[in-house]
Amino acid sequence: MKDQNLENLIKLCQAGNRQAFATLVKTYQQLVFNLLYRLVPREWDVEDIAQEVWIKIYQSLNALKNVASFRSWLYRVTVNTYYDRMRQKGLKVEVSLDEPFETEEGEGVRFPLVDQGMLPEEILLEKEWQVYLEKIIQDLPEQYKIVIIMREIDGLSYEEISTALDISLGTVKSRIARAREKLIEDLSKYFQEVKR
Amino acid sequence: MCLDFEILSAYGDDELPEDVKKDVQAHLAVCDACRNILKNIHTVNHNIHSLKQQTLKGIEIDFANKLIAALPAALPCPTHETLSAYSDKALDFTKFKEVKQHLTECNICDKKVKTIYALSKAIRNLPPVYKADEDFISKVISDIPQTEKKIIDFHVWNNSRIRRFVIAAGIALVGILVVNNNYTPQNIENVNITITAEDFLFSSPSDSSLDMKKSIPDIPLLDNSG
Repeated sequence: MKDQNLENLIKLCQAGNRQAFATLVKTYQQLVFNLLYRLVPREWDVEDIAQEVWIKIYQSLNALKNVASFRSWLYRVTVNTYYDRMRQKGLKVEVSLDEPFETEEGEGVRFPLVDQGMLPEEILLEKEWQVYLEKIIQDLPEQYKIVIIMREIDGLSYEEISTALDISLGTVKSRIARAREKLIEDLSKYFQEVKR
Repeated sequence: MCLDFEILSAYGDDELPEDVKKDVQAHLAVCDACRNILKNIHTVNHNIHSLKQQTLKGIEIDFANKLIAALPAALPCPTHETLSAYSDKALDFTKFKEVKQHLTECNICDKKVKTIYALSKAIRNLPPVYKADEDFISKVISDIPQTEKKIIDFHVWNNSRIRRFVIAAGIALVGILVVNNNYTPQNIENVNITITAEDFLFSSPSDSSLDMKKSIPDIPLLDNSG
């Protein structure tokens, strides 16, 4: 959606126009589902959380000053709603077990020793690999999973991710790198096994 | 994945713990790039050492120049983080150009970037994992609080054009009533006026809702016909 159209749509929503809000939900619901579906445990009701996200969006839409940051804001509400739900269920908000050391730029990439080799693009696009890729994305530590979904699946810029998650650009950069590193590592291992 | 320069440097100085040293050796066995960096580190160390010796002998040497000449070759490959940011075009221009140049010279890093591109493409091509029920939107809409009217009222009054129009209309109405001696403010209170802002804005002069004669029969209207 073009910025001008989004701005008009949001103004209508801010004026309480439900039809406009339905259009907004229709346009952006997949972003919310993309993230939630990969974040929440299978037994949870994804739609229920998504519904809560959209109601929060509706209730606080008047507070949105910069329409250009709508997507980042939508993600922030989504992630926070998910964390709230975790807390309600008495679950701890996950912090990666293999948390890398801190550097001036943010979280440094862990010292890697695995030689990954090169993964052929044509193979990664095959159905069997897509299933495996989906699985290993699901298995990523949460903070890496969130950034890689935002970056690769929904196409957010580093700045947008930084705003959405309220983390520095350096941290965004290193989390994305770390997520990719982990995925490539897993895919390489799988690739080696399949080749044997 | 190549080793960090600091690790290689520490390895070159034999300052690593045994277990890490073994990992580094295993990596060096399969990685030309890191072996080259290590070789360069050794060269620099050797140069510095020999410079020290020669200086002690009182020989004039351009220490800085010799050291700098040896350093560029020892620069390590970009980190995975830098290559990842490069693939997203998220580096500043100078760094981006530097990495781009490096990729033309380093086959290993070039392969790594290509792998990142392949991974990105594969993730972007994943089919949508979740399709919402068709009635999801109506469920959301039916669940949102009934605040619509309140918000609309607030925004209509926030519109300065409407606000000015309503105020001007009110003043004009009071003016008409005051000009006509038959009406005092006390009388006005008894008149049931049902004209809304929308009536003023969107109705034509012939619209019955604006026909003040009907709602206030005894007030003579201003003659608009000229």
